[in-house]
Amino acid sequence: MLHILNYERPQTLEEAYQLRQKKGSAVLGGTGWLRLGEHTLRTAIDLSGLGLRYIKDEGDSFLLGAYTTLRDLETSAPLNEAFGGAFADAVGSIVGIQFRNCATLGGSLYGRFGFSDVLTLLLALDCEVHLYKEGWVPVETFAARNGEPDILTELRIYKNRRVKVLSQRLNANDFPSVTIAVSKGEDGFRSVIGARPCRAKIAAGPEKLTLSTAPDFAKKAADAVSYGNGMRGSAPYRRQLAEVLTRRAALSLLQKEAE
Amino acid sequence: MEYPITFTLNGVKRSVSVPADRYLLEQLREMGCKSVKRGCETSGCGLCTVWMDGKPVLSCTVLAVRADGHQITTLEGLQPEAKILGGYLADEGGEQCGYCAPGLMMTLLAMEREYPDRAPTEAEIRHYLEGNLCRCSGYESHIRAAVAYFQDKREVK
Ligand SMILES: Cc1cc2nc3c(=O)[nH]c(=O)nc-3n(C[C@H](O)[C@H](O)[C@H](O)COP(=O)(O)OP(=O)(O)OC[C@H]3O[C@@H](n4cnc5c(N)ncnc54)[C@H](O)[C@@H]3O)c2cc1C
Ligand code: FES
Ligand code: FES
Repeated sequence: MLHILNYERPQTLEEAYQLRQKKGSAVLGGTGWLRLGEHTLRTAIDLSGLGLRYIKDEGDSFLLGAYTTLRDLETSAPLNEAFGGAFADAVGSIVGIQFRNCATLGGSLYGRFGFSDVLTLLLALDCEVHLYKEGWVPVETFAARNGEPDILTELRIYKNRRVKVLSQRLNANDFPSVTIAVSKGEDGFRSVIGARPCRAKIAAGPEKLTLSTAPDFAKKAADAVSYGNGMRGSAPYRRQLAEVLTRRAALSLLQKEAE
Repeated sequence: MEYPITFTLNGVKRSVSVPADRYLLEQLREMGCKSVKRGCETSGCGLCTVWMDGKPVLSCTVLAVRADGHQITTLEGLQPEAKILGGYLADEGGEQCGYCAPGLMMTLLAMEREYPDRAPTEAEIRHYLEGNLCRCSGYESHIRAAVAYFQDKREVK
């Protein structure tokens, strides 16, 4: 149950930041996650009046506002054209479209969830998270930290990598048993493994690959991270899935390149 | 503490005061929109689907304060269309207990607006309806009804 003692709709990010310094405060994203569990917010900060919902094409990168919804990521033609449909693939199995019209990019990133399809994809790309006070932080640095009292304002995604994201679910809209992403840039291939069910992590790369070395890369990546047991799969099962999906994703990128 | 909000509900401007942690589901039912059904209340079933500015959202997940300044639509505001679509669901045996029907119809009618130029394919319909759970029908009757509805609508257009 979510209890809110005081609701604030700041007019500026500075005002929002000052409110966020108060004990017991939190920013409201789409409240999909916040509404679960027992939370009492002394100050709930609603940024919906600050124009943070956008996807801007900046030439070599995209700039996405924190209040961009998962459905926006799924349906944005420029974003999906630039990354071979990876955003639609990554979020298309998250609950349902009504939910994806509510859940935000900011909440999905800030939550750093151990089951996150979104974080898995973003770690495979070259991205930076913008925090109002701290400024730009590489997504891998951000992903490894915990709940700083700052405001996530936007995300920059560079267009320099091709990416393939795959997940395995027990049924269509469940949490994933495992999600992987493989990307390719100038420096070679990078593998990310998430929903293990721990926070997504870069598992291997950058490394140059061919069709014949891709299976070894997948094995190395799958061996590099830890897995947990749970109702969506045992640790050995998840590890096996991670290897198979990583190999498939790497081969798919290599084959696309050859076409 | 209560917060004053003004929003348009089914085309009519309404002003109310709401506690900050009340969900839209509660508020709409209190305002007489009993088509908005309470299901899981954990964002998973789609029974509580309403439109916010024309897009389907989960009223159990959206805080009522966030309706301020927005257009909210429930099935009460779409009665002529609901009657027609309901006929298709009934014809295909898609309404058994009927509890999921308002949420399902809100989703399908939103989908219709996202496809102004063509009928969506069956695969697109299945994807769009993934967030609407039904404990009775087994879903196939919903899909048959939706396919027939969109095809007929397209022929009429
Ligand atoms: C039933 C269910 C199933 C799900 N299944 C999946 C799944 O299969 N795969 C997947 O990847 N995800 C899944 N999710 C997670 C979902 O996609 C969202 O990531 C999650 O709901 C958080 O996004 P939100 O906008 O709802 O954030 P909220 O719940 O509003 O917030 C989450 C956290 O982020 C903070 N926050 C939000 N915005 C900001 C900001 N701009 N600056 C600073 N802090 C901020 C909040 O204070 C809170 O701590 C699921 C969630 C639910 C409820
Ligand atoms: S009651 Fe809202 S999704 Fe189930
Ligand atoms: S007909 Fe009973 S829940 Fe769908």
